[in-house]
Amino acid sequence: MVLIAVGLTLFVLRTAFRVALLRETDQLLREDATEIELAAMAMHPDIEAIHAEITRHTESHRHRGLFVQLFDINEKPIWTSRGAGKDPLPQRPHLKKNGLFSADSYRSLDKDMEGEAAQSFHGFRVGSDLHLVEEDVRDLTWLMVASMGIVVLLVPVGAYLVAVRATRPVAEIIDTTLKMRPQKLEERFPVRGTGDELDRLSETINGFLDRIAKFLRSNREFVANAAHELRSPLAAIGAAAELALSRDRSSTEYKEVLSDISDKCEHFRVLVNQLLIIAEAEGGPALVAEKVCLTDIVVKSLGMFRDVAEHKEIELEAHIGRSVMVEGYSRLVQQLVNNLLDNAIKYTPEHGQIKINLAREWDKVILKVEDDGVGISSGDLPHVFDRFFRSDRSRQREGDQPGGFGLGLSICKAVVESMGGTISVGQRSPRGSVFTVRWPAPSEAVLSNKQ
Amino acid sequence: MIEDDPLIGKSLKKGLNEAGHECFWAREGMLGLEKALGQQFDAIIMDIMLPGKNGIEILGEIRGKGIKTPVLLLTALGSVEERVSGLKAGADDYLVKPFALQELIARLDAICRRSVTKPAMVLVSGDLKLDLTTRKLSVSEKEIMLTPTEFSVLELLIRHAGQVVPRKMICEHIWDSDWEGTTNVIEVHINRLRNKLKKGGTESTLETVRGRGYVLLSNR
Repeated sequence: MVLIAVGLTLFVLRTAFRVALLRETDQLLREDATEIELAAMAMHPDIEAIHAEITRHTESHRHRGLFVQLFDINEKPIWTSRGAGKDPLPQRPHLKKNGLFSADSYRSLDKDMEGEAAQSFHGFRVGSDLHLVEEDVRDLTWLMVASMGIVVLLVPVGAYLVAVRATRPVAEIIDTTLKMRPQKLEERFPVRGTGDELDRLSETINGFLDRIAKFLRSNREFVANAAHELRSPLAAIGAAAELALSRDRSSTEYKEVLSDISDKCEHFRVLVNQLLIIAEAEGGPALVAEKVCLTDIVVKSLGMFRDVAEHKEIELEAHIGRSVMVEGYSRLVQQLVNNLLDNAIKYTPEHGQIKINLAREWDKVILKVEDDGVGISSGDLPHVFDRFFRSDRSRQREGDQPGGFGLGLSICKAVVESMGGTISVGQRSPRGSVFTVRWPAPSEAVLSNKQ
Repeated sequence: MIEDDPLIGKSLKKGLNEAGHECFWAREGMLGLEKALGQQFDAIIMDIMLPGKNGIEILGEIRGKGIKTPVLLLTALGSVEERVSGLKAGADDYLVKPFALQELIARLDAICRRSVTKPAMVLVSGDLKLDLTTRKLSVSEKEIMLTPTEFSVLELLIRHAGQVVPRKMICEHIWDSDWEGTTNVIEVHINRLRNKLKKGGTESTLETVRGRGYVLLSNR
């Protein structure tokens, strides 16, 4: 396509140039003729002078291959100037009628003399070599072909260079990405400060990498902490068994050791299950979110804790909206609500009060659990959702009791976040703490689809 | 029992024998399937991850042959999907590893009873009589008032009288919840139940087995 277009353009340009050159040639020939005519009239009857004048004129227009021929009354050439081109002059008789013609590679103009001057010669022919025109046309054509060729060849090269320049940042991003490994995520993409799309791309990916790095870091810590937590009961079991086997003992002693080991195993089992709940909540995609009636779950949870609260003489005050729905996984949501109530009851002294509030407010579902217990120190507040975080107060209380791993609230956080919600904790005045969970309320469309 | 772990298998076999059950132990899937198809067992305990043939496949083939022997699945994975697929394949119950031996035996008793005998309308243990239709407890013809929760707890304990019933199992029985937190939500009910039984003048006692659960003993 490009070649055809270029060829066509060349042809049109060449033809136009040629026509223009011929027209120019004709115009010059007319001017020559007029000049010769005037000279002949002025110098008549001195034919030698006329010849000299014509010779001077043709000499000065030699570059055009100009020649002049004089004719007698019988249309026979009687004198020819020097200076014509290489080719033999056209051998046609002088035209009776004045006019232009092309013959034998010459463009010629015939003209008859008028008045007295016609006595010196009857008419004349002035012509110029067309080879020169053709040469010009050829030169120009070559010039055009050459320049077009350069253009055709250079445009892709130039475009390539421009593209390389423009995509260099993308290439850098690709190179950097190829070098990245999950163990080595420190590198970030350069932001050049131009504010264009590529900069925004780099910034977006950098932000994403920051989040991944943070997630991996917390996961590594989690694994290390979990291993550490598992190490203590494992050490205890190992030590107890080893000691028991070191010499013969009474069956009472064996029983005691085995009972200790069994206790530690129970401790182990609960810890592993809690770790699995976190893994399940964070596993996300494995679970398909379903419509969950939070009201039912909170009521069930209250049923579980009501008697314990009563026993501790804690007042449980609940304001629960009817049929409040969220999207999530009911087993995990039940864990969440149970853990929040468990936490509240744990830190509320006798005769205390716990308030539970569940409501849908516009596009949010809000669950609040307030207690007037010992509260959380402001130093501990930012850490209560950290895995394996245990404040001093809980260390004293839980002792060796199973379930006291400092995972309860981090399970809450994992569950809430897996549902696209948030959980926060604050101090309550005059004392106690308040946990607030916010979920996006499921849209009505989602609810009706699932019904 | 179809179980490839030597330690678990050994402990289970011993535990079952001591609880008065006879037990054949197959260490891999193909042998397990062959036995299950060729012999009439009261119940099958089966791991899911097995060499040869996995538990779900074996279960599918057993049920496909119309054998209705109660099956208790053991699984180390415990993901929701896996439990669902196990129950769908025809298991009567499942237990996630690690588990307490008492819980396994209790559940095994439960699924055997469920499939073999008609549900008893009155449960009896020592001098305790629990009427499931009127939901009343009586000790030597004297009625003791129970809350619904206490009734459920006692029902479970009488069904497994003499065996330790883990807290977790009681929790699942009453609230259908596998939650395990720091607060002992069962203790309160156990204490009240224990006091009521004592007041009612029964010989049976409700003992706490530290760190494991509770056991109902009819002292005679």
